[in-house]
Formats: sequence, structure tokens, C-alpha cells
Amino acid sequence: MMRRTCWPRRRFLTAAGALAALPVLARGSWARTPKGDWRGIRAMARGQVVHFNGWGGDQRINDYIAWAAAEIKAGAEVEVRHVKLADTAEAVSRIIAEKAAGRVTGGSVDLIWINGENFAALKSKDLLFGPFVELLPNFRKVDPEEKPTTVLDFTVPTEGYESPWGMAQLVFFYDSARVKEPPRSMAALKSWAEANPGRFTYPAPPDFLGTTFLKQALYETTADPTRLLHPTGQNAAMATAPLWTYLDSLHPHLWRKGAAFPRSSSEMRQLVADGETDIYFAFNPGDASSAIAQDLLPDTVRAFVPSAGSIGNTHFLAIPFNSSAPEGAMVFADFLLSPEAQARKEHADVWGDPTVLSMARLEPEERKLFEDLPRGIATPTPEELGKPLPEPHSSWVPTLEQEWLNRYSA
Amino acid sequence: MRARIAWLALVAVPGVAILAGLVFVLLPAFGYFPALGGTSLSLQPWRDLLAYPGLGSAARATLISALVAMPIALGLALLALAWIAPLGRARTGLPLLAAKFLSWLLATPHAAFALGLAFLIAPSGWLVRIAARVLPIETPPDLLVPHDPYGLSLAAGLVLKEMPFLFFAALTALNQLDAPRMMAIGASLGYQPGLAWFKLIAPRLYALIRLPVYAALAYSLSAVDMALVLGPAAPPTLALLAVDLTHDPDLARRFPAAALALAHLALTLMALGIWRACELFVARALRTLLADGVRSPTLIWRWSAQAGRALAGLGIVFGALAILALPLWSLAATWRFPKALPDCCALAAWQRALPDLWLPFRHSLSIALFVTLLALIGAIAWLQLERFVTHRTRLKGRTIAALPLIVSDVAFLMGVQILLLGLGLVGGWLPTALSHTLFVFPYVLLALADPWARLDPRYERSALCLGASPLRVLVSVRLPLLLPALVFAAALGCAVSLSLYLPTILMGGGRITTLATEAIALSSGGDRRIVGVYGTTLALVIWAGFFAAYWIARRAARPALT
Amino acid sequence: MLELRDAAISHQGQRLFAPVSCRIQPGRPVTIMGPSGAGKSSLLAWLTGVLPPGLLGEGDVLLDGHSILALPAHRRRLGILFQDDLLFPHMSVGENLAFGLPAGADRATRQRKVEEALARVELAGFAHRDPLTLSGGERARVALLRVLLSEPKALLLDEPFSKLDLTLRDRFRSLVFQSATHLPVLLVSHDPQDSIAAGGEVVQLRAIHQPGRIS
Repeated sequence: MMRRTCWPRRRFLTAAGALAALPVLARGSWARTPKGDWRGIRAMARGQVVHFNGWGGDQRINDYIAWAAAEIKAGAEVEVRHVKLADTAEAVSRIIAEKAAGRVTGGSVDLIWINGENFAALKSKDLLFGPFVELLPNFRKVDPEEKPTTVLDFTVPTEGYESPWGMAQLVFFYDSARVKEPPRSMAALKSWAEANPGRFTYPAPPDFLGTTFLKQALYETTADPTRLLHPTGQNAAMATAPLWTYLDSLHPHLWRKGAAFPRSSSEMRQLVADGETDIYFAFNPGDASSAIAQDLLPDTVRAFVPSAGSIGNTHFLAIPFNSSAPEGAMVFADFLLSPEAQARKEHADVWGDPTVLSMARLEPEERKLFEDLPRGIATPTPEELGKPLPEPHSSWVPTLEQEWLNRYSA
Repeated sequence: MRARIAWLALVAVPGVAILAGLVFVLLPAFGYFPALGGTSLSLQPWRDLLAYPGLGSAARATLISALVAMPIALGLALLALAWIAPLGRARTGLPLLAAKFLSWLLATPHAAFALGLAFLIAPSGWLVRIAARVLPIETPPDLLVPHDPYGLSLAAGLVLKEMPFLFFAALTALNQLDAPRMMAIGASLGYQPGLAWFKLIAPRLYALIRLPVYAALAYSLSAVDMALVLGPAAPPTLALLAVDLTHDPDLARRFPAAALALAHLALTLMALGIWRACELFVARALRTLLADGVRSPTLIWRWSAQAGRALAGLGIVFGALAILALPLWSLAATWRFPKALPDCCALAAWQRALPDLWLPFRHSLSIALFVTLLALIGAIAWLQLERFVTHRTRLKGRTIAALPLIVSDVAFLMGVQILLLGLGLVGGWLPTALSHTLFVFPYVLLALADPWARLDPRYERSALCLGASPLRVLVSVRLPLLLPALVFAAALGCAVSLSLYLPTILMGGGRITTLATEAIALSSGGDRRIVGVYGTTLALVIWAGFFAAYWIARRAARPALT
Repeated sequence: MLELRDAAISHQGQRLFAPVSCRIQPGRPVTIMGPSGAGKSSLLAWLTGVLPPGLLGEGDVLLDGHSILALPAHRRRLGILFQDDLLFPHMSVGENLAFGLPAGADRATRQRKVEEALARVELAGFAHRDPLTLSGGERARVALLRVLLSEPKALLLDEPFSKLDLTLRDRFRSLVFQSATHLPVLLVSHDPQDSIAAGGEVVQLRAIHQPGRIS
């Protein structure tokens, strides 16, 4: 559907001001909180229709959601409709618009697949339903100690306003039929691109994966990476200067000489499938394996992880303040957190998205579901993955996106 | 008198809708819209808009793609008409085949066609794959198509989609021109037939199809679905940019978005102005050629006709392959570069997509049927009441009905969206359906108007003399006699509604997904097999509508008594 | 000289009329008479090379001794006047006439020829008029001029007088025959007055009775 355009962001902060000036009922907190116990919630959920808004650019994920929708329909009589978005910002914009229009109930989004700055935007404006996560029976199988990002979304504490759904870590994939030795650092990537012009590209920011590539490159080029965990503040330009020097020298050797970029991660994968490029990356370590299983990629594709480590995070499900079916949304979010749904999601032939659950907190037969999963030929082992790098503070995102747009678009 | 007022009320509906839309885009474009926090007039939205990097290139690509595409599309349409049906009826043999192909091309929805064309012309696309069978191509060439910064790929798509539209508009108009006798006169005065057609028929034909030409030009400037698939990416076309802005989480961006929508309207008017100026210039230049007495085409004429014919031939090959690409993909097991044909055949994609297909299918069909019914009723009422006004007033009314096709839809739809927002309403099925009606109605009206006027008035007169009430005459005499035209108009209305993209996106409030929006949403690289399923389904539904119309019309055309 | 040899038109193997033959000399018009539906217009369409599909012509047509049947319509050099004047509505009177003039010569010369022609039929100064603003008689005269300016080798008349009112009809008829004395003229009509005015030979088209058809 629509891409989100990266607009000059200097007016972003004024939005909150504009909202406060609205003539609509601006009193108290908008956010509703769940009432009653889980049994009561399940009873209320029966018969509800949940409009699940989520990025719809990957058919394997859509298929998985369709499967889960069918399961929850049979198991809890909740009807889930997947509203496929090209960019999550579309739904976020709609929620904000609905609040501006004074629509406090019966909103168009009942459950949203979200993380990062979109979550931060909704949470800071008090536009989320909750906290509800502690109520979900399956949340007990998540261990925030073991996987801190299940409660810390891009450094922002989730505080029970979003339920973790899957783990993500930036992983690169290459076609071993054409690339002998994959470049395991940004410096190596540049030399490789010089030797193989036109064979690599990345999605144009603000696509989240494109932005992540910038962050990864920033980590590897900046002098002091710990600086990135704090807000940009002053002299951010000093931290980012090496990144732009790097990109300036990389771009001439990219696909289409850097004059055009794919619009999404799946378009980038399609380029590898079409033989236009040789390397792509994804947030899902099982991406290539499941794509191979579905005949979307040749079976010669393999994975590699930057030797300096790669950025990792968690993606979540949240319920907007004006959801017309919060109970149904909670029941569905809980189902997606169940070992059965999580194990299926991790299966390389289905989606290959790693689980947020902690193996230590599972019953033996539940654990077996995960242990029995085949590892795809293009999925890195946990050792190869290593410990993920934390996401930079979310204030870096608009800085990077805006500067990128100024330099490389138009 | 009452009939005239009723007719005026009918005319007012599209007029008021557009006016309201424009007002509510005008106000926020100058900073005033209290519901969004804008309480005073200012130029800030324009300053924000001008600060956008790449606005100029976006405007350039928009204008170039439309102004390159339209003359070519028009030229090819007239050239094709001169060859296929110079006298108003398709000649038998190859020309008839070509006419059938053009009707398929016309019925193929924009989104599906654009997706097929994008796959065709990409460096790793079908053409290169076919070439790779004979040439030593191992890796795809590093060329920037589609999505080239000047919008030429988009222009190619627009040429192929607008050419059949103009062709059929001209074919319909040709019947009013007494072409057979004009051509006979031309021949008796010694004129070679092709040249006679361009001197005697084409100028008058153009005057008759001016409205469709303007509509096609306006469409070229605001085609969001085609621009997404074929147009430049960074920055995109103006229309696309405007739509992107409305999806920004920052509501303050609605102000520059409104300014941009207004700029798009200005661009549309400017393009129409440029077109009109060119019209006058060309008319002046050609006027002296009309009466120069030259009877057989000069070398330049012959060459350009040859070039046009070659281009048309190329267009037919491209069009046919683009239409074929999606069904083929939907059946492919795999189809890797550089294979010219997929590893056939699998129904896996269809099986996988079917559960997801149902909801957009239902939305598409329910909206199309409702909108078509509404438009048919409106058009019948319109035509029935039209006889009470003068010919000139009638023409003015029809121009108002056609305004949604000519005024920038980006501008007035965004206004309506802002208005809804101000009223505390979110989009949904009904706003989507009503906005579709604005675009479907003119097509239905124009498709019905001609057969309506041509029906022998004596049928109705004799029925009235037999004592039937006017309503009864309408229902039991006129409408049954016009059944073939009615079903064709209905099929056309459904086709238009099913292909609409922008109104669904802006008025659907995110809840309404149709086959067209889904095909585009899925197109950004995911799985071409699934995109193929959606595009093919969309095209099949539209084609089925036309087939049903054709079948019903043929049955109705049989004499009732033998 | 225009000559028809055993000319006939048939539809699905059935002749519409018995074959006709005639020789037409300049200054001596020939009239083909016949009731409506006898095939008069089809005969003219065949002569000019625009016979609609489904109809078949037989016999031969010679212009100055050469058969013209193999030639395409626009090379036959047969001028024709119809019932309706068929002036081109998107051109002025002058442009309609210039359309008939052969190519070549500069614009001023062409314009002069057009003006002279108009003056000959008492329409001087009409060059810039829109044909729609002319009276029926004026339009008929312009149509005649247009044919004559195209320098045809023979003139065919398809009941060109039938739509004019009586007084106009006589004047226009004599104008036509006077201006075409240098050409073979073939007139088809169902009006005996026309044949009298033409003054030459009259050929009667005899419809063939078809079995099973009530006439």
C-alpha cells in the first residue's frame, strides 16, 4: 500500500501541542484498562471481530496470521481480520487521527503489530489500552531477565502496554553460488561492493530495515558506540559523520549505482531471487530458510552475521485506546504467545521467527515442540548469532532518516 | 418545473461533493482547520511543502510522465482506429482480432496491468529472460527500470492503458460522423483513404472525444496505483507523495498535505492548459495542411505512420505479455532468472491465498454492485429528467457529472477525508462506496446517454397513447428496450469501481481492503505468485462482468417473436 | 468517354437488375432511371470503388478506353455529387474548395483559384464562411464547385437535385449540366424531370423479380 514519506521532522514535536489545542474532550487519561479476570475476558471476547493491523508485505507471515486466525476462531470464537499495511505508520496515523476526531470507542484498529518509534509515539501520547500483558496467561512463560528486549522496546520500557511476539536480530544472507566469502564487516562490505558493483543494496529509509542498516553501519563506524544508547542531544553530527563518509563511498558501487533503492525488505529479497543482487539482510534469522522452503529463494543461499555483532530487538502486539474489541485482541495476543503458536512461528517452513518464550519456563512437552524444530540450512546457530547489540535510543532514528533523505533522495 | 428542479438537484450532487472537497483542502492548505489545531490563516503549510527535498523532481516526473504518455496514447488510438475500423465497424480479419485484444486490454484493471508490465520490463523481468534464451545474459543488466526518475516507465504503462480507452471512446463517437459517405467523397476527390481519414474524420472525431482525452490526462497525473508500481521511487509522483503524507503519524503534516493536494490540482489545471494550448497550436498548424490538396501521404507522413504502426505492434506485444504475466505467475511453482517460462504448474499459490482472498473479494464485489446500482438509478433518473432542459444546459450538466474524472481526485478526496476527520468520522464501507459512485457515475451516464437518445421515440409515444403512465412507460417499454445498453453500462460501472485504488485508500479508513488495494499492497516484493493470484482474480471478476453483459445483451437482442 | 459494359450488381448470387451497357460522351449526359431499391446507388458505389462487402459487381467500366475496376477508389478520378451536399463541417467554404483543388501551387494561387470559382457561381466572398451558415442552394453550388475543382474525368450524379425545392432545383440542374459540358456525366434518378433536363440517353434499370419475394 503506502510507504511513509520521511517528512522534515522539525514539526514533529509540535504535533503534541496541536493535539492539546484540540477542541475535543481533552480531559483525563484516554487509555482504558482491562477489567475482570481472564475467564471473564475470554467470555467477553466471544463473538468479537478483531481488526489486526500489521505489515502485510510478506505472504509467509500473512499465511501464518491466517492460520492463527482460523485457530482462534475455532478455539475462542474470536474473528480476526488481518488488515495488511505497507507501513505500520499508516495505522498509527489513523489512531492519532481518530483521537483528534474525538473517536474514543469503536476505533478502526483493534490490535496492532508494532515496535520502536511507533510504540514510543503511541505510548507517549497515551493512546494505548492497558497495561494488559500481565493478564495474559502465556506471558508467564516469558523471562524478561533472559531476554531483556521483551520488556524494553528500543530502550523504552513497555510497562505492560505491549505483548512480545517475536525476537529479531539483523542477519545477512548471501547466495553461495555467486559469493565465495561473504563480507562480515561494513569495511569488508565496501571492498566487496567495489569488486562486485551493482550486486548489493538496502531498502530506502524510513523502511525499518533500511533504517536498521544505517544503525548497524553507525555502530561499526562511529567512534564511541555507547554514545548511541543515549538521546542524540548536541553534537550528534560528530557521531554520525563517519557513517555519511562511509555511505558516500559505498553508494556508487550499489545496485543502480545508488540512484534507486528497494522499498522494503521483501523487495530486497526479491532482488536476490531475481539474480539482480547477491546479498540481503533481514531481522528474522530464519528468513532465508523459510524462503527457500517456499521456493522463493534458491537453496544456495546461506546466512552470516557481522563479526562485530548485530542489532537485535523484539516485536510486539499492542491494543489502541479505542479498540472496539480489546478482549478479543487480548485473547488473540495470548494465543500468539502460546508455545504451540510460537513453535509454529519458529518453524523454518512457516516463518522462522524466533520465540520470545524462555525454554526454562516451559513444560517438558512444550519444550519438545521447540527442540523438534528442524533448523533450516540458511539459519545461523545461536553461537553464530552471538549476543545482539542493543537498539540505539529511538531519537537517533529521525536524525538518521532525515539526513539520509536530504543526502540521497531527490 | 418540478422536473427541472429534480434534475438540478441531481446535478448538484457531484458538484457539491467536489466543491466541499476543494473547500476543505483549501482551508487547511492555508493553515486553517481548528480540529487539527490550525486556528489562523498562514503560509506555513506552503513553506513546509517547499522545504520537502525533491518536490521539484516529483512535480517534474509527474508532468513528464503524463505529457509524454498522452500524445502517444492519443496518436496510437487514432492510428489504430484508422486501421481497425475507419468507418465505425471493425474490419474483418486481423483488425477485428486487434479490436478484441484492445477490449481485453481496456478491461484489464490498472493495478493488475501495471504489476504485469513491471515484471515484463524489469532488468530481471520477462523480456530480458526471453532475450537470455539467445543472448549470453547471465546476470540482469543494471538498468533503472521501472521506477526511473523521469517517470518514463510510468508513461509507458499509461500509454498502454489509456490507448484502448481513447480508442473505444473514439470508436463510439465515430458513429456520429457519417464516416462512410465522408470517406466516399474523399475517395471521389482522389484522396488516398488513410490520408482522407486523417483529414476528414480525425479532426472532427477529436472534437467529440475531448472530454475522454481530458479525463485520461487528469488520470495520468493522479494515478497512484500505477505510479507505485512503475513510477519513480524517491521522490515519487506528486499524487503519491500527497497520499503518503496523509499516512504520517504526525497530524500536523495534514496541513502541508493539503497544500500539496492543492498544488496537485494546480498542476492538473496547468497540464490541461498546456494541452489546450497545444491543441490550438496543432489545430492551426494542421489547418493549412487540410486544404493543401495533397492527396497521397508524403514521405514524412508515411514514415510516421510506419513508426506509429511499429510502436502499436510493440504495444500489443507488451500489453499481451503484461496481461499474461500475472496468471502465469499465479500458477508458477518457481520462476527464477533467467528462465523464460516458469516451472509449471502448481495451484499451491491459489490454495494458499484463497482464505485471505475472500474478504477483499467480498469488499470489492459488494462495493462494485452497490455503487453500480446506485449509479444506474441515478443515470436513469438523470436522463429521464434531462429532456426537460435545453440542449446547452444538458451539456453543462454532463460536464459537471464528469468533473470527478477531470478535477484532481487527490485534491478533493483529501478534502473530503479532512472533512470526515473534522466531523469525527472515520472512513469505512459507506464513504468508500459513495466516493466510488462519484467516479462510476459519469462512466455509466455517458455509456447510457447515447443509446438512450437513439431509441426511437415512437415506442414511448405509442405506449403513452395506449394510456400507460410515464413511469410504466419507462419501466416496461424504455428500460427493456435498452436492456443491452443497461447491462453494458452496469459491467462498465463494476469494472471502474473494482479498479479504483485511490478513493478506497483515502476513504476506507484502513478497514476496506479490495482486490486492487491488496494486489498493490502485496506487490512490494513479497511473493509474485500471490500477487499473481490477486491480480488475476481482479481481472477475472471484471472480465466475467463484461462476458455476462455480452451474453445478456445477445440474448436480449434476439427477436421476442419469431 | 465513360463506358459501362454489361454492368450489374448481385447480392448472394442474385442480380439486382438486368445488366446495363452505355457509352457516355462529354456534353451528352446519360440518365439511369429506376425505382428506389433497384440498385442505382449500389451501381454508383461500384463505379466509384466503394461497394459495401456482400455486394458483387460484374461487367466492366472503361474511362477513356481503360478499365478502371482494378484501380483503388481514389485513383479512378470519378467525381460524384450526392443528394446531400456533404460539405466538410470542420472546414470553411474556401477550405472545402481547396480540398478539391489538386496539390501544388502556392497558397496565394490556390486562394485565388478558390475565389474565382466562387465568383463564377455568384458566391464571391464566401470563402471564409462556415458551410453551416449557407442556404441549401448555396451549399449545393459549393459541393459542385468542389467536385469540378478536383478535375475529374467524369461526373456521377446520385440524385443531387432531389432535396432542393422546385425553383432551386431547376436552376441548380442547369448550372450542373452547363458547367460539366466538357465531361461525361452519368445521372441516376427516379425523377423523369431530371432525365428531360439532362437531355440525353435514358437507361431504364429493370428490377429482376426474385422467386419467393413479393414486390
